[in-house]
Amino acid sequence: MNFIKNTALGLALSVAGATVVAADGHAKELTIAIVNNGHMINMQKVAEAYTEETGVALNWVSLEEGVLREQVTSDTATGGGQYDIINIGMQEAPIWGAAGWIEPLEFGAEYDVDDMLPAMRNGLSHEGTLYAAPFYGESSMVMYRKDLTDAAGVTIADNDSWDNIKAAAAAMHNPDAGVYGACLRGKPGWGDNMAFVTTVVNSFGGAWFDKDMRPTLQSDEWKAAINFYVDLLGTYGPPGSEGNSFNEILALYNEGKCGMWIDATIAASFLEVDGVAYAQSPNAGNPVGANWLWAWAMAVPTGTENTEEAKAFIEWATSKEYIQAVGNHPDFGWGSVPTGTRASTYEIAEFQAVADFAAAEKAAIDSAAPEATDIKPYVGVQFAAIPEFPEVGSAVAQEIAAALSGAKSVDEALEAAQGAADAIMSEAGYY
Amino acid sequence: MANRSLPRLLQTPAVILLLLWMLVPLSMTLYFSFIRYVLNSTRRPEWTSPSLSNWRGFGNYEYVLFNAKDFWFAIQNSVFIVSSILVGTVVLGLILAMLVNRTFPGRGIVRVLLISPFFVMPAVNAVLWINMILDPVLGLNGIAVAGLNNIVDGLRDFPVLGQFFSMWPKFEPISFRATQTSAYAVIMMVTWQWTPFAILIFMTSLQSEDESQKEAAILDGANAWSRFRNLTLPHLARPIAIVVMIQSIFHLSLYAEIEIVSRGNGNKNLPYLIGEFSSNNIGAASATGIFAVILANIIAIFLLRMVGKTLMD
Repeated sequence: MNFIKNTALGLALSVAGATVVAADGHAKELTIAIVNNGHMINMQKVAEAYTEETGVALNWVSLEEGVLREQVTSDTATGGGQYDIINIGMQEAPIWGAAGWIEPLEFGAEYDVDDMLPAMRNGLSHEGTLYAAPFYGESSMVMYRKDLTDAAGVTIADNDSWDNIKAAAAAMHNPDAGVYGACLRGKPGWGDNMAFVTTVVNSFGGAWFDKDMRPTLQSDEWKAAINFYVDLLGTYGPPGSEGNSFNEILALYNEGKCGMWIDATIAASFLEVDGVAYAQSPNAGNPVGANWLWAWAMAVPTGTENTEEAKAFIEWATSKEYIQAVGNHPDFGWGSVPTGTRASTYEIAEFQAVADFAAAEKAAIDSAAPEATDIKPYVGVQFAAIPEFPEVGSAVAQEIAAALSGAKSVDEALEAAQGAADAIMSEAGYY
Repeated sequence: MANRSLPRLLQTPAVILLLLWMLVPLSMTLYFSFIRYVLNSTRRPEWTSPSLSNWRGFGNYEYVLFNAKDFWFAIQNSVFIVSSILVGTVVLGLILAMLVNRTFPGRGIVRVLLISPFFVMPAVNAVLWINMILDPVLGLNGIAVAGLNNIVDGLRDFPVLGQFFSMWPKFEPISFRATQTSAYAVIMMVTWQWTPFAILIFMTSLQSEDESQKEAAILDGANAWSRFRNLTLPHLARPIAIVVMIQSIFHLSLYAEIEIVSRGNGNKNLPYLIGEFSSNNIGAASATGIFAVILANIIAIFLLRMVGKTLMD
């Protein structure tokens, strides 16, 4: 329902945006493709001030995540030049930068690029060059009902062990009263269930690929992680978990049906139930944390003719002034500022006053490490920054959902997943 | 000759436009299906632009048929969902059309209500069904099962009868997004949406049925079933064939419902498979597209024969 509302709002605003024509005859126009998330929708309104100041007219094309990805990929891959600025995620930014599809970004001293959170900057760069500027960023954390844990006499600590998480879920689980211990993502999709599942696998010490980029989905780490995930969500999750992703669980949580939820930090600003407490994501004793890292960022495709104007707009929209502009905007205020991009945002007193999750969110982002390590040879935490990942991720996602549904055993599902991933990777010419 | 070439000349632009309309996409699909073509590749950048130097022969077809996941499953499942929907809509459509063919107060309103599901957009239909009706916690499904459990719980306190009810198990709501059930959810929602189409066609046809034949049959002592079997059903053969043909064409390309219900978990068809490939591998997506064209043609030939036959009789 949220999605429909956002789309409708997006459409309405794009129409409104398209009709704002600069009075100045020789003013430039920029066409911007954005994802229809709350922060981006707000940007259309906040940026009216930018048009007034500079005379650059802005045409917004607001699309749903999947459609945006498709549109922007085919337009950029073929050098279509339909858009001057595009919204891309952390999965695409380094690949597209390497492929020369998007322009490297360099900003003036006033922009203070060192203020950008290091994890974000690393995740959006290729070989040290920044290719996309983060508009808002997120990690994942545990959001739990303090009233329920207190009543059950359990506690959840930062970076708790998975065993303890399971014990806490069991203690809170009371389906007769309509409360389920743990609500977690189960809906198939590389950005849906696999985002969470990959963080669990990471914390068990597993990775998607070995150093030859062969999938390692039948490793002991994957088996342990998926068995744990299926057991936790199957036993203490709500029925129908294989259909739940962010929006579905948000609805359940706000109906008071969930004891705990491990998901994007951005969720914290939408939670309406009382007594929510936060903890850093659980861990299985591995140095790679169990929290993910994601950002929606803005980039300039190489096909555009308005490169300079586009870069100037991005510089403004991801600056400290923009954060101030949203915070002081009569329609929005400090509860709606895009977070997760700049260290300075978390130091603003007005923001701290309305966002009780701020400290937990920043800690989660800071502890995420997207760069390649000994355990994983690819960039990315809950994904691999390779062009084939969406295909691999979606295929595996369906198998994990089948295991969660009980249609397959975990071993069968991982065997099928390994086969599918192997076929895609060898088809793509990796080996 | 002159009086025949002028009309032909006038038709030419339309015919050429139609040919281009059909041939350009089809030949591009064919071309892509025989070359290596991916949207992005860091390993093999030369594959990212379509060119004859990336010729692959039947490699894409081989990959789709034997290496890639789910091709055979998609074909089987396509046939399963389409035929289930056809049976459902035709049977329900027949029953409802027969019922509303009688005169009763409020018939106009009932007919409008029966037709209305057809005007709901497919994606909206899927979102409404899966979230508001079939959801095992917040939907009608979950609420109904919870209510039933509450009633049974209450009955357990009764003397004597309570004994009986305490042996009942607790009901668990079925999740319709699971691997085992997602195809049924799609069948249900599409049947709901397309039954009105069948009703509409059958209803108009029933109105043209010869009443005097029916009266004669009643005088001869034929019962309701044999009147239906021997008079109404043969009369409806043609509309049934039309409903089956049009619906098969539409339902072979179901996409929105599959995407919204389970994202391909346990339920897939060829268009969905094409969508999955097209996130990067355009060659494989095109080869799957050609398979879909072949499948659609086989079914179309089969159906045209059947419909043609009923139209001839």
